[in-house]
Amino acid sequence: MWAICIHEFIRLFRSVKSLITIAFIAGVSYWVSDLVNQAAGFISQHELTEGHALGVFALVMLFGPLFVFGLSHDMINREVSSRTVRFLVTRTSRFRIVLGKCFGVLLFWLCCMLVTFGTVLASVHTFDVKTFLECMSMLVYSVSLCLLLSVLIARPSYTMFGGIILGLFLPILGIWTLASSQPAAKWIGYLLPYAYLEKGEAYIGVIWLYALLFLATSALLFQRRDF
Amino acid sequence: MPLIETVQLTKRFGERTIVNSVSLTVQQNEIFGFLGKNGAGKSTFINMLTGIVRPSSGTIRLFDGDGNTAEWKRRIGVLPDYSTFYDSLTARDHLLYLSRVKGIRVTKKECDRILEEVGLAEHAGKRAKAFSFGMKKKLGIAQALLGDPELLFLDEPTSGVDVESSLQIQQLLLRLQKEGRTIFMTSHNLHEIEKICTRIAIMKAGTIAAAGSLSELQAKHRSWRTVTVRHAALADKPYELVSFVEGLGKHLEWREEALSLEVDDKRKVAALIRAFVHAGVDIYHVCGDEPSLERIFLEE
Repeated sequence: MWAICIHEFIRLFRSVKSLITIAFIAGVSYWVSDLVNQAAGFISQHELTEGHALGVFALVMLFGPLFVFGLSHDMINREVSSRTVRFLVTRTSRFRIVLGKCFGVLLFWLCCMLVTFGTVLASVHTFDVKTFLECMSMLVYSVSLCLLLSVLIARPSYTMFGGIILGLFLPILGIWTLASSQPAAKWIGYLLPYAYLEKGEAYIGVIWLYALLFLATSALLFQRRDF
Repeated sequence: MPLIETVQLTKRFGERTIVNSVSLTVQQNEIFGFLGKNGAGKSTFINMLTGIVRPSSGTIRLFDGDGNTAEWKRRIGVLPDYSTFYDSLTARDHLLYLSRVKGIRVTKKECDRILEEVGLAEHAGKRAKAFSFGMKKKLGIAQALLGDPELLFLDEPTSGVDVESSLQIQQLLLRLQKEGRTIFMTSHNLHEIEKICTRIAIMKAGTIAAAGSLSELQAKHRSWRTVTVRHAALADKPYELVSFVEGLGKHLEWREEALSLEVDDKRKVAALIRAFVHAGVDIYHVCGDEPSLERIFLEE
């Protein structure tokens, strides 16, 4: 499992797309934190700490799913379509393959967040643990949903298209569910991470439960596949 | 001790039954050849044994039921059909990565030794995307050999490989058998199967049409044997002799100085000789061939 995890992690880091994504997130976060820092005299210390991480928070909430789907939409079906998965399934359990892939992508995003929050820490000397956890929760949800999509859909070209649509649609749907008073919005909101992030504290655990559900479903579906 | 045992193994894809209730046993230290036309179900069968495809019904027992699936996977080596590789990895990196996936630690030196065995030593540092089909096949065999597996599943190990490399692979397989490994392989190269396999199974439309050692299969097909008669040159073949010979057997080939014919009874060989003598045609040489694997394959 760890070999697959490390392989996936290194593959992501080798990609130019990934490096541009990290540079973009870190750059915007640094710029926003610097901007907020210039207004330090007008806001409280608590708000200042949250304000420093506002850039990365907004980026992850609005574009996190898009970034994740853009970089990892084919984490499983790429191996299936190129048939390299046959080398894996004859060596280790299918559950370990799914877990390894998922952990590899998560490790990449953890590093990306550490780089981003590290940049903020280096520039304005604050590290907002709460925002960091919220961002990671959003990314865990997106990665596990991306994994499920990659197991469900066999062709990488389809998941690329579907992933981009979903990546753009999820934040729009999330904002609508938060802003709308319609009953449907409330029910749909329960399926998305945004409502739980807004409620905060223990509710964030629900996002992780959803991620676990997506992961378990992916593993179950992968278990039943023929290659 | 049976190393592979399947009981009524079946695979269906929707309405189509690809492998139909196949029961097969492969003993330890055998090189078992699996033959069949394209679409006969060979690859699906081997894929079920290796965990690539899930059986619809039936059971598979490897290593006499000793250990669980995870342990089996550590003890087998697999060359799947249509081997494709990670474009960005070199041959050596492939072996290092795939050995780690298997849960074993292999040194670079060990990887290079395996690559040398399959004739890829000088390409160890080259990326797989630059490899030809034959080189990819060799890399496929190399990755199957990782971790010294007791049981090897090789799906067409020499297809697309040049003659020299093919012979090198055959020698390697024979050496592995001598060292105590069991090999289960498919091939379209009947000569290769005839040469190196200790037992053979012929698959037809998802079922085993025939199985056994080459001599057992030959014995089963010995009722038809090819007789070759070399005789004096005949400008005009006597009509009576021609009509007699035509009625004697099948697959008659008659050139100016030689005749070959398949007969189902050895008494017909004697009758054939008598007919030649009666027609006044001198016979120089008569021989009866054992049924070839090619003929057995085509007849099954």
